[in-house]
Amino acid sequence: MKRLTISLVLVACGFFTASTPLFAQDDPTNPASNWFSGRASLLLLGRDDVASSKFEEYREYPKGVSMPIFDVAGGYNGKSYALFSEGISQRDQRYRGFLDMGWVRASVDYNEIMHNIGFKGQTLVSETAPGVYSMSKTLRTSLQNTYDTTPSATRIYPWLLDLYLPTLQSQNFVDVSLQRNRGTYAFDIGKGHPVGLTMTYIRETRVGAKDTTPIYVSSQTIELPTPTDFLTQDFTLNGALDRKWGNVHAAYGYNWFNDHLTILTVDNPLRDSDAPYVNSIGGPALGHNVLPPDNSASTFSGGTMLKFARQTRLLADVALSQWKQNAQFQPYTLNTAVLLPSGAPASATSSLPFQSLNGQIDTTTVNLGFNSRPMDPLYVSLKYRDYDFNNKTPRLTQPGYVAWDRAWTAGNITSTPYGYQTKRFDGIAGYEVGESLAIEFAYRNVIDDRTFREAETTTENGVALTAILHGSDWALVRATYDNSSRTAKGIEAGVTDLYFDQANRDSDKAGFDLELSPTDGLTVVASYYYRKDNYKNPTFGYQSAKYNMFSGEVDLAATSRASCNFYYTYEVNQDGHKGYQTISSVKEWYTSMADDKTNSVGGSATFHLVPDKWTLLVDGNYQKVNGLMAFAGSPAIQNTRAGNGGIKDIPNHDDTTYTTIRGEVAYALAKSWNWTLGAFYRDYTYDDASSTATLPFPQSNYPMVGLFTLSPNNGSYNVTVGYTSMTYRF
Amino acid sequence: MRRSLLVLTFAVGWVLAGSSVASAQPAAATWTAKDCQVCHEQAATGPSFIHTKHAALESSCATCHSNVSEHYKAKVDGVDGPSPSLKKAKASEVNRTCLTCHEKAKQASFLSSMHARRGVACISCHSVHDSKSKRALLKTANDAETCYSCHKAYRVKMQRTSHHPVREGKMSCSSCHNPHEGTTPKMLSANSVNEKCYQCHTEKRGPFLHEHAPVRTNCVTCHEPHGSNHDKLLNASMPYLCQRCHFSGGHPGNLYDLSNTLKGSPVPVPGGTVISARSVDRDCKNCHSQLHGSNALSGTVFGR
Repeated sequence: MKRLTISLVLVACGFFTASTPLFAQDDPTNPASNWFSGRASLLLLGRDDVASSKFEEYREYPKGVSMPIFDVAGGYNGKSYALFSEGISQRDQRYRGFLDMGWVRASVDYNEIMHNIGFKGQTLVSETAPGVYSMSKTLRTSLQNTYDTTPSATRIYPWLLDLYLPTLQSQNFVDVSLQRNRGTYAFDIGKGHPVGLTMTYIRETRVGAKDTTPIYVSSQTIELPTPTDFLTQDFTLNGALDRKWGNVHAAYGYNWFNDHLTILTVDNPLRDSDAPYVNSIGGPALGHNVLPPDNSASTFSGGTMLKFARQTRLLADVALSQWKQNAQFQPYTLNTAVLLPSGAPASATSSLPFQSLNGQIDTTTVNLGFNSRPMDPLYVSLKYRDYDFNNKTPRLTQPGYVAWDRAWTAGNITSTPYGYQTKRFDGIAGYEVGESLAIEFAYRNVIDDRTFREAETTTENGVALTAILHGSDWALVRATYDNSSRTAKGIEAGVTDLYFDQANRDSDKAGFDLELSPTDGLTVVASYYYRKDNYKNPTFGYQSAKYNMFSGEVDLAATSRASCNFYYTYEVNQDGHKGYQTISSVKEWYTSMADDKTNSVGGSATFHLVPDKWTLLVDGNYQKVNGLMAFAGSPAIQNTRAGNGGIKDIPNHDDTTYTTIRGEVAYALAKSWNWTLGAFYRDYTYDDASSTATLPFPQSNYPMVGLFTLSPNNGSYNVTVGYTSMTYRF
Repeated sequence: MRRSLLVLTFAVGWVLAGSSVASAQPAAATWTAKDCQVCHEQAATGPSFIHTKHAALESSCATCHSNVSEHYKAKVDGVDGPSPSLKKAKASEVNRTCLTCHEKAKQASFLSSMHARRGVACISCHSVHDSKSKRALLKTANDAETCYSCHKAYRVKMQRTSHHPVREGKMSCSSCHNPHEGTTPKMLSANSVNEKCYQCHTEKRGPFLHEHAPVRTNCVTCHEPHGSNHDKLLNASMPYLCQRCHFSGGHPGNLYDLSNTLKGSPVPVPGGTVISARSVDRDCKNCHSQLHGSNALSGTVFGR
């Protein structure tokens, strides 16, 4: 398939190349309006084999011959067209093109994106149908008999490991990988003219496994590739009238999502038959998880922008959207041994109190804006925005549920269709002091009304002051400071600790940029950014967030034959938290502080060794994230960990190092031919104390007896890649 | 309320469409690129300009550049004259020039945007005469590089292990942001953060039977879309991310330190803690796998 596609493209390339003189002859007197050009490239690549999916997470590096580029573009009698192709026949191929006939224009953007999430995940089961993971019934019977007849005190880590070991040795391997293919097709009438109409259709498929899904079965969790067979389609009709006085626009869109799979099931390794779960024995033979339901959204939007003198603009936009979801519910459980109080099987959909959600969310967006320069050095901007997320989904009360497929748990549970409304006002005034200084003052007020949350309303007031100093042609300073405070009202009775997204909060932000261009070809930039959030009224939970960033950059074009740039960025991110454990009926406190420090360095240099003939390019990037999770706790908590030497920090907390170095030589063989020879080396290391490396991980503290992780390989790797390419321009 | 807004919008559009007044057209072309290319050959006939719509404008160079004839005459006479170049003009002047034609569609609210107010000119990002991109006449090969020239923090965040495919060229900053937008916070090209995310992650739109409140409100409560060293673009790793809210007694609020991880204590320690399934691999999601919302009646704690 791949070879055939490349062959076809090569033939097409030849055809276009041969046809070039014909195009040129059409109107020799006007080469600017009738023209044709293109580019085709062939690549020969060699590289190491890489076991980790991270290397080719989103892009493919195909060994051997490939065609990374094929472009054509042209114009004929006022009409123009183009086709840009990347990675032909690869999993990451993309084609963009248009045909512009003046009043009518058609365009396409077809983009394939691979998502390699992990290679060679280890699993006890195998996929026998889409979304169905199975295991030998004989083996399950054997494991069930052994497990059920062994005293619970004996069923600890070494015993479990011995039980599973023969099974583990015959495990299967599976790649966790998704293919996303999106095509965007647009048809414009009157583009660039006073009246325009655009129809856009988007079709996107996602097939494979978009993630991993752990399923809790009895007392163990089995992680599986998430079976994915999604189709999303979107149709939009957009019209606009543009005149000297402004414009009016309106659009209607309909978006619908279909999931061709509804449920994920897996055989329980420890059971071949359903049974109620009693005293750590029993449970379902088949575990399950519900996959995303179909849904849809329709949106109407419209608005206007009116122009007046002194850059005065009035803007008004409104968007009304309605989302719906009404997929058939899955049963409470697949465990046929679980019965409702009425005696009805919990595994039948007929036992459900309702068959579907009939969910509906209406959103209303209103944007109003006023912008003006009443006198030239002064400008004002006023904005009001209202976003109403009105969740009209009915509140459903169910008489109970089946927890972890084990047994019926009675008690009314009522669903909570959360909603909210955000109203925001921004008032901005700026003044230009002479030619070199501009200052701006901004005020904002944000009110969030929430439905079914602990705080009914939060109000945030913020101010910002910005100064831009353009002292001369070669120096620019931007400085900004922003302070805001949020308070919560209407707090539910009995609630003492608000979640951080509603809690009272003080925030500070500051930014500073200095750009210097002392000589032609030299630019020096220094940037600093600071942000701090303090959450004031949760005693426990998220307490603070702090981020500091410094960056320096130099761009130098020393001569016409050499240029380079270099940057360094340092970041510190700190998140503070306070929690508690209840020991002897006392809330014993502890704190945690995530403290990530990141150093990033990068640069590139280009040398035109022989002008218009030989070019050398060198570039590289390095980034090291040093993560730390630090703890402190009360003496009582320290005592619970005396056997481990007390509370211990986690020094390897998602630590990553990413290094890429590349060198490339290009040679212009002739006016139309370019040859390139290059290589790059990449090293990626990942170190985290919490990431599993082996399967299984039976937890020794009862009752969780197993955690069968897939542990697909998306970890550290290093790779060397060499390539050469030939590019022909026509 | 919604119906009233609908009617109001139609009414405004109708009135404005009906009141359209024919406006004066620009003066007939008297100047062509050939007059300018005597000195500015690359700018006037370069490959990235010659086939663009700008090159075909009726008034040619004089459409965007002022004082062109005076400048030409001064140069011929060998005296100082006005400079038509926009490079040294104030950002507001440059923007006024470009918006003469482009103040519509995605640029309609540019004048009230953060970029316009911060002194960013159209030519800070775009180059009419020497663009490097396949679309949008950008000064760099793709829009991310253009954005990084000012937004330094995002350049390095995008290099994190967990990232959207921006550095791979499969997405761009403009996939989520409209740099010309003057009405939405953060210049988002959607009505809300979540509505933007649902454009690619449609399966999370719902609504669901059992909703997770912060998920419903704002995806960035838990995710950092610009890149993270934590899995799944999370702001923090689990279980610590979840503990920002779930600090109550019992297993959600417990302290999970090194001893609870694979590298801390591979086997049970008498009198000590042991590895916890709540702080390895998917952590909280090992059991609560449907945190974005569950449509299962037995999914009350997002386990199904």
